[in-house]
Order: sequence, then C-alpha cells, then structure tokens
Amino acid sequence: MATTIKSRGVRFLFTRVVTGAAAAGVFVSLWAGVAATAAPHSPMNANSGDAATAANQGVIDQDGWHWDPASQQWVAIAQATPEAPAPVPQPVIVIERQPVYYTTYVQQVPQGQSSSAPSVPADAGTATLPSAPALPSAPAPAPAAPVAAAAAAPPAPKPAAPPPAPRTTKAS
Amino acid sequence: MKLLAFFALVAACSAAVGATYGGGIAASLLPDPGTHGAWYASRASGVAAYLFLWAGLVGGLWMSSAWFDGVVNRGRLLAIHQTAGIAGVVLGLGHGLVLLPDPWTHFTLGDILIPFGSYYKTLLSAFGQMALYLSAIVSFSFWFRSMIGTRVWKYLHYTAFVAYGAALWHGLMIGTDARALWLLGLYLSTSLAVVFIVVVRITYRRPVPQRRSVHAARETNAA
Repeated sequence: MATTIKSRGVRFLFTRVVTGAAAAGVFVSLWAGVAATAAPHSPMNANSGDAATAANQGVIDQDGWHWDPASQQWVAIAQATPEAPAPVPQPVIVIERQPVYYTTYVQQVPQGQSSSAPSVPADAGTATLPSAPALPSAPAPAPAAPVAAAAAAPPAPKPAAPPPAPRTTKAS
Repeated sequence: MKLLAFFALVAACSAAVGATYGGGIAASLLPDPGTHGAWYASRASGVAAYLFLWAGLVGGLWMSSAWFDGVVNRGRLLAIHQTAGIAGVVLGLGHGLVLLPDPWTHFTLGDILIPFGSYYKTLLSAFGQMALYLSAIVSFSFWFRSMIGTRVWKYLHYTAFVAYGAALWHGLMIGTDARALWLLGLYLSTSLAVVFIVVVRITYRRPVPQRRSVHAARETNAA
C-alpha cells in the first residue's frame, strides 16, 4: 500500500483537501454563529436552558445577586430593589461554654497530727473556701460575694489558653 | 500520506492560533466574541467534531454496503471517509485544547487529556475524551493495517460505533447548545442516519463474486 501511494501520490487529493476545507469552514461558521447568538453569561451556567432563557431576557437572580442588563454587572438584590423594607435585626442568642477552674494550693499540716488528711474546718458544709494561708505564688481566693453583686459584675476575662488537665497515673 | 499529515498539522495549528487569539485577530472576523472567544470556539469545534466523526462513520458504512454502489466512486468515498475521520479527531482535540486559554473555565492539560481527570462533570467529560481517543485509534489504524492485520483492523473499526455513541452522549449531556432545537435536530437526524445505514449494511451485504473453477473454464474453452 505504501508503495502504491509513493508511486501514484495521494489519491483523490482534491477531494481530501475539499473535505478538510469543509471541516474548517464548518468550524468557523459555527464559531461565528455561536458568537453571534450567545448571551452574556458565564459558560458554566449556560447548561441550564432556563438560565439561558433568563439571560436572554435579562432576568437572572442567583445567590442574592441580580444581573442588571443595563449596567451589565451583578448587583445585590437588596441594592437592586430599594423599595423593599429594610430587614428587622433579629436578636442573637450566644451560648458560651465557660471553663471550670480548679485551684490547687498547699496546706500546712499542724504538728502533732499523724494523719496526712486535712482536718475538717469548722464551717464545713458551707460554700466558703478553707481559710488556710496561701503560698505567695498561689493566687489568693476571691472573697465570696453576694449573688446579686456577682451577677452584676462583669465576667472575668478568659485566659489565653485553658489550664492543662491534671495527669493521672494508672495504678498498677 | 505526507500531504495528509501536512494538512492535519495546518488545521491543528489554525485551531490553536484561532483559539489563542480568539479575542484578538480572529475577533475581527467574528461578530463581537468579547472575552468568550475561546469558549465559543470550543463549542463550535465540538459540534463540528461530532459532525465529521459522524461523516467518517457513515462513509465507512457506506463503503462496506453494496446498496450504495455506483452513487459515489469508491476511491473518492474512501478519501472522504479517511479525511472526515481525521478532521473529526483534529476538531475534537481542538475542542478540548481551546479551553486552556479560556478565562472562565480553568481546565488544565490534565483535565482535558486524561480520561476521568476533568474537574467538571468527570464522567460525562470522560465520554468525550474516550470518543476522541477511540476515533484517533480508528482513524489512524488505516496506516497500520498491514502491521496489525486485517482482522484486528476490522475489529478495531467496530469501536467507531462506541466512539460515536460516546461523542453523542457527551454532547447531549454537557453540551452548552444541547437544548437548542437546531442541535437536537442535528443529533436526531444524524443518529437516525447511522441506524438506517447500519440496518442497510447488515441486511444488504455485498454479493461475493462467483469464481469459475479452472476445470469449468477449460471445458468452456474446449467447447
């Protein structure tokens, strides 16, 4: 076959050239046709026939934006319809989880006591903290305040990072 | 062969240049493509590629059926069949590559050339990619016929139906103009034509010429 081609050249060369030229012509014609009839919209959205129809009519509302055919750009729907009443601001309920603090301090054991357990203070059962003297490095516990005053007081500032959880060793 | 390759190269270069400068030089020839020149070129080349792949398929079926004998010279029909197939492949390749400079879509070379590699509708895009590769294999297998054998070449040609179906499905499902009446009509008429010619091809085979035996020929000559 190759020898045949070499000896005779390409058979029906004119037909082949005309077919190729027809392909180029069809392509260019379709290109011109598409460009002439295309609507100004995103090609990715052009799959929808409704979108194409809407684009031809200049009516596109999408994701809170409205296509303005006059200015050829997207405008926010609230901006596009100024006669609409302004939305009423709704109250927002914020729920924050506050960290729980544990205060660790060292209590001096009075001499003469054999047990390591601290003695029960006299006011046990109340909400007051033990009256042991705190170390200079430990923060002094805040005095108990009335409930009304505590509610009125501003919340304590949040620490930059929550305190690390105490490590527990597994008993073997 | 060399001339065909030359024309194919010229067509590919023209498509690339047209795509690259779709908004510039070619814009003067077209009615205001704006910044969508590459996108429009891709849509146009997609439809044109489908048309010429269809023409190649129909030409092959036409050649293999005796029903159409005498309508067109077989040699000329072969030339049309081959050139239409190659033109379809070139246009199909251009259909994808044209999207590279398009500012709206963000296809990479991998999105376009690797089957199932497209970020946009992966499966439906893969139909188009597979149609392109199968069509290329079928179209260029002509020059490797002696190497692969007629039997393999023939079976390879059957994949042209798969390629055509994949191209049709790709165009119908994600073609931008798929819902346009003119394109729906084009898809319908071309598909019906393929079905018609396939039915003709199956039911109207070329009659095998009867060979006279040597013995019968001697008897005839003796008489």
